Amino acid sequence: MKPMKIRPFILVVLILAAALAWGKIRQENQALDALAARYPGQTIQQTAPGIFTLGRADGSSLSVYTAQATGWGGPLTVMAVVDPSGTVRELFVPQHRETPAFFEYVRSTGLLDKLAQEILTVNPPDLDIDAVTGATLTSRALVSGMSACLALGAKDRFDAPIPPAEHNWEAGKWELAVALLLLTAWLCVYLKIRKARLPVTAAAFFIVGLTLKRPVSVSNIGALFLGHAPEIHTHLLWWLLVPGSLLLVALAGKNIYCSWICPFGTLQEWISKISGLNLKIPRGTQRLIKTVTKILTVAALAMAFVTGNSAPTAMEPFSTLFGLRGSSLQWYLVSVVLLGALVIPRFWCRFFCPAGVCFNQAARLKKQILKAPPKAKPLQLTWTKTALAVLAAALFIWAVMLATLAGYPPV
Amino acid sequence: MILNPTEWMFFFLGMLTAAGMGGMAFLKLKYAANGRCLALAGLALFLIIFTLAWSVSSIIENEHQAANMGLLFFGLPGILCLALALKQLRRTVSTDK
Repeated sequence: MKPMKIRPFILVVLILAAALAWGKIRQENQALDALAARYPGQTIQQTAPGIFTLGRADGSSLSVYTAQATGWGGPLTVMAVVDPSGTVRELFVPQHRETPAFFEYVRSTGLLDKLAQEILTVNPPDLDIDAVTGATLTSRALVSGMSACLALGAKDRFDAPIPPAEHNWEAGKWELAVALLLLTAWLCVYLKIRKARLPVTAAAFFIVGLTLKRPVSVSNIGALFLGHAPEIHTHLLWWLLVPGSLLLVALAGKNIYCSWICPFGTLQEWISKISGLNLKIPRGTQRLIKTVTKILTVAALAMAFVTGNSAPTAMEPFSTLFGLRGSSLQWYLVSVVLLGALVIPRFWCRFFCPAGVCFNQAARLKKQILKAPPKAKPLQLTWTKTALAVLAAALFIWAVMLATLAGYPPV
Repeated sequence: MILNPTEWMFFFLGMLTAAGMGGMAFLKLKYAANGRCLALAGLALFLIIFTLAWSVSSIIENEHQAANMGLLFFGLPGILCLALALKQLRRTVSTDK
């Protein structure tokens, strides 16, 4: 394994830290801006945290109640516009981090219109609305956001107490199945049981791919570093799949996720086994493509940090293929990759997967920490390197503190 | 229906892209095609795919004149590039013999 080069590493950390900090500063008052864009020419006044008043030209006013909930991609903001009689006039989502195709699907089911039929009362009712199949977490987040808006409205209009947030653990058979999968994969790698690979990858394909439809994407990793991780007691699956897999890979020192768990990799492997073809790519070309992919991964993460939204960076065709929802370009990518896998085994994984780049770097960490490469030159610290490292560390710590300690987003 | 017509079109364009790339690899490995031939073939592939995307999208949006213009301005140069690439390949193969 090649020794990790210090200068590019520092440069990458610097770029990502600066992007994170800049993104955090940029997002100030985004909710207010969204409201102003939605109701142009109307005076907006913040009367309390999360409560705005919209002054209209005819002298009447509307109340806007803002709440946050957590979906699959991170926190989303829900705004309920309520007229003086207590009728909800509109419900809109100015900011979300869900996969765009999934969010549009939820919108197309009419869930937002259904939620907007609620009326403000002293005791806000429990919203008993079924989750949208195929986008459960997103629809649940919208329902929970609307409940919070109604509770805030009841407090504002009727001085009703806001019910305390419930922290019940939600874990079932799928969480157990994923935990068992990760554990089995790790044990098989540790004990070198190669024969178990086919059943484990097949089980992962059916559980993570066909049933849960959400393999780990670079947007999830971006969300983790942005401090947008959902609450563990309601999204245990997310925690098992994203930080759980990364931690497992880092601890094992081997990329267990890509080779044993990722359903997209398994599918490509099966396709190439069916065709039996293996086109050799020249080493120089391979190296060039891999370097470009690494640069693109850093660019994707930096873009996510700057915009504070990692969802658009999900360029992988996983969710399109397994969820059967995506943009035209994602469908284009799916067919290129599947046909490419016919002639080049694990075509996407080997050359293009940004999530794979992150997992590979996590796997390299252990080897880099535990044993120095035999012929590696000892690190010679110069003033420039030291200053760069200190600056990178300071920027990174500052950015992480900003992202985690400051309320998100400031309303 | 799972996919709409535009998504189907992009799905087939993706297959065409992968098949075209495979074809170029085949030309390189089987006939030892030179750089000029591969560059022409690559350009032809790009133009033909772009033409299909342009024209089919235009027809879906009921813009038939735009579809025709797309065929003329992008499709024709694409076919010319493909013909030039094949000519270049034939010349390379006959020189080798």
